[in-house]
Amino acid sequence: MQTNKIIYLTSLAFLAVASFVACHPQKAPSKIEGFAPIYMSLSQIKNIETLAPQTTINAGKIYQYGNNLTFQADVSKGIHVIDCSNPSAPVKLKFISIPGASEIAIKNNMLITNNFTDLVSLDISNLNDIKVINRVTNVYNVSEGLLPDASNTFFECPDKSKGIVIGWEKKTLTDPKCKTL
Amino acid sequence: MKKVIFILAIGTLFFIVACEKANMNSGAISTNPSGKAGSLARFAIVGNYLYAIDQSDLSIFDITNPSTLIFKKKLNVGESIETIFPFRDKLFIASNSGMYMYNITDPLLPVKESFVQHITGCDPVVANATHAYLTIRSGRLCGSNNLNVLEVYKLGTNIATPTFVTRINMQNPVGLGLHGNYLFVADKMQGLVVFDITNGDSPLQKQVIQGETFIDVIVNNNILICMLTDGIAYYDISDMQNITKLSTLK
Repeated sequence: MQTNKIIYLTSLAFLAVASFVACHPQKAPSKIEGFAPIYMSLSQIKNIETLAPQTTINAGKIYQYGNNLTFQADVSKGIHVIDCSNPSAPVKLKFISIPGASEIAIKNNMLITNNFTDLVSLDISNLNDIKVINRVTNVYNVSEGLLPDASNTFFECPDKSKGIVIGWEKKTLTDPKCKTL
Repeated sequence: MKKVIFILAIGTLFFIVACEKANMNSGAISTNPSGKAGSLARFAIVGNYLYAIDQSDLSIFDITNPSTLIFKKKLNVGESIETIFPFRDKLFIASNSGMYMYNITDPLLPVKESFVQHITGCDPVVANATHAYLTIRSGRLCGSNNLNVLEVYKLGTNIATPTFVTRINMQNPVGLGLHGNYLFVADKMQGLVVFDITNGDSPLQKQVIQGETFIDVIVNNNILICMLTDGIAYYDISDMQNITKLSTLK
């Protein structure tokens, strides 16, 4: 199952990159601002854990649970858990690290999110002890984030030997070979 | 051994059939608490089911029991699906090229009731009993046209057969949210645009709240929760003539 997913993701990435490169052969300046892939090893991608509050890096979708809790995805990284019982002074309580997460839905203290192509449910009834309850593997295919979200921009071509691409960071690139449309 | 497995299998089958029947009888309405999603959501909870859309498919999960997430089925909707919005017994599913409406009177058997096509673009949708509002924006991942608009569709009897009413120009509209007679449209750097929709056919712009880059909204009673490009903002909307920023969290 995991192998299938890896093949799927890498082949998608490869195809996308290949077509972009093929369609737009362009000589890049030797040093230029662009994007570099953020990698995660295959052994790490299913690792879900609750951490102390984190600074918001790539603010994602929001979800309101009752009047006291807001959740915000940090795209591809996880979910911020926010106490908004006093909306004039909201406080981050936890950060649930979930590689690949972008979606949130909650019912009966069951939080459902995406961990790349898997859906997982977490028991959030005790925020000090958030537990993964269920995992449905290989049911969810979103290709968002496969390429940097910027047009006409150079990026470092993904190297699958380094793992799965979980995001992009701005970087000064040396002689990049890939470019978005 | 084989006999035991056989009996177990039959037993399980009976159990599944019995459960489905019970769910159907109870209908899609549930008193169990679920939360509120923004208009950009790809997940929607209706009753005891989670509807999840990915690039092209709608998947249904049974979440009756909070300790089990059960995959039930997957059906193909179309290309470049982006958002899902549940309203009563309907699912509004927005794709790059238009808006689908599915009837989920039987929660496990969504029936496509309509599809209205529009110019290619990214497009979340919200709806009330009479109208559907959707935004279309251009961008690299959304299509290369330069259309950035709020579109209004009138919904017929029983929230069916949407017909196009009007189109309002925006800068780069993304998420939207309904609050009684008001509609919020997150217009990125331009601000949060507030429309009076007392006349649902012709939204009247009342105000633009600036100072943040707005992506989406959730209306939670008198509090408006805004997704920003760099975090969250909370606004007090108990007095719509005097919307007040309460805080930001980044």
